Amino acid sequence: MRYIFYMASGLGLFIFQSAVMPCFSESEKFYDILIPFVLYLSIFCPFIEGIMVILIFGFLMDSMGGGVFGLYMISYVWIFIGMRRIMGVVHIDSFLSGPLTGLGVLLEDAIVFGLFRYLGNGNPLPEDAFYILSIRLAWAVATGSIVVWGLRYFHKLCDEQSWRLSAKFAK
Amino acid sequence: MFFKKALMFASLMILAVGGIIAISFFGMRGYSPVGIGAVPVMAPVQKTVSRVVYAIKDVWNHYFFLVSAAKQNDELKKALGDVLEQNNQCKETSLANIRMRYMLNFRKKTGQEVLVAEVIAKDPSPWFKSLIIDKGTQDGVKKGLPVVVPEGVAGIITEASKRYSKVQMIIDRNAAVDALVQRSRARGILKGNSAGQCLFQYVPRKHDVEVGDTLISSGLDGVFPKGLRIGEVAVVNKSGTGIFQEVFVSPYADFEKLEEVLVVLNPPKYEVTDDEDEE
Repeated sequence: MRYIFYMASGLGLFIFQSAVMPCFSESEKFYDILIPFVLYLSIFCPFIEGIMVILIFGFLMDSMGGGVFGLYMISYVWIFIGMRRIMGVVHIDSFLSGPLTGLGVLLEDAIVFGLFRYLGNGNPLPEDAFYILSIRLAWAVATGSIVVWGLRYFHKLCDEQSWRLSAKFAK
Repeated sequence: MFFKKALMFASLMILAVGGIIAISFFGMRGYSPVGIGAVPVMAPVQKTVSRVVYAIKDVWNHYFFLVSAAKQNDELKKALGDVLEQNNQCKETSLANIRMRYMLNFRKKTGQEVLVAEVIAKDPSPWFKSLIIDKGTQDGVKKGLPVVVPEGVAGIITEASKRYSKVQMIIDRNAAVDALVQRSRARGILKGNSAGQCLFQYVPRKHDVEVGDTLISSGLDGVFPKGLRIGEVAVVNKSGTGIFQEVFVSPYADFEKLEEVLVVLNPPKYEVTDDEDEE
């Protein structure tokens, strides 16, 4: 049931972000909604399992996106590792998940800008980069904890369903 | 004994008949001497009772009877929703029809083999501008083919799978189109800029470029057919010290609202012939 939760929630967020959100104008200024998912995995998921799930969804995003292949995979892995390091220092609760999502967005965009720089494509920072980044950060801080809370609730539902099923079979 | 019974029966009959006659008589006359005295006494009671009855009826009609009204309301709302949905579908079909006609006209005008593809997803990142379309190699799409819309150039196929393809839009930072200013024939390279605009680069300062000029594809990049509209010059900046001027271009295609695109399947290739080599 745990794997079903990982796949269902990740795919749900992926499809929402790539097919539903583009229907709304200005949606591109919204942050990568898989970042709270990565944050959630880093908090509640064992390391190996988390890395595997992250690589799968990083692969999906890289296949879909217009950037260099591997960009999202690398970003997600670094966010995952970074969050686990932070977890060792501070206790991450729902209050902190918003700012930490913002931190994840910042890290992902830093990798993108680093890539622009590495590829030598003129100015590494687009003209409106700070404006877009600030909007993305604001969205991430404001709604990141809601996404994490939603994932936690969905996970709880899946666990309850799993216990019910196992109890039914035990009888 | 029999006489007494007959007398009683006759009296009763007379009373009954007399009563009927009296009622008929007073009724015809329009008034009743008993009623006149009874009205002031009975009217307030009647009024109160009728008010109570009306109140109960009112409550019944407005609250209890509303159960059925609410049911009817729900049914009507559902019917209205269905009609609105049908109306919306008709509007969508009509709009799609207009777009398709526009694309058909474009196809006739250009005379090139083009394939209509639907946009099914977009890159969610603000830093990369790409689309996924629902046509792939099985439909004849391959890497490097130009993608256009009736308004102008849209992008280029960067990856193609069997049924889907990825399109890099011209506003992507990594995209470039060889372009000409239609009026003055000044040539340069159009590059994407993340602000939804493009940068017309490598145009010498002496070349004539003005705000409002139309940019067309030159065809020299070997990707886009010559003469396709790209955009309009929005800003011309010659204040710098470099040898090139800075020109910003607003693309004609509205990349926020792209729903269908056209993939040019047989773009004309510029081939260098032996005669041209000798020249």
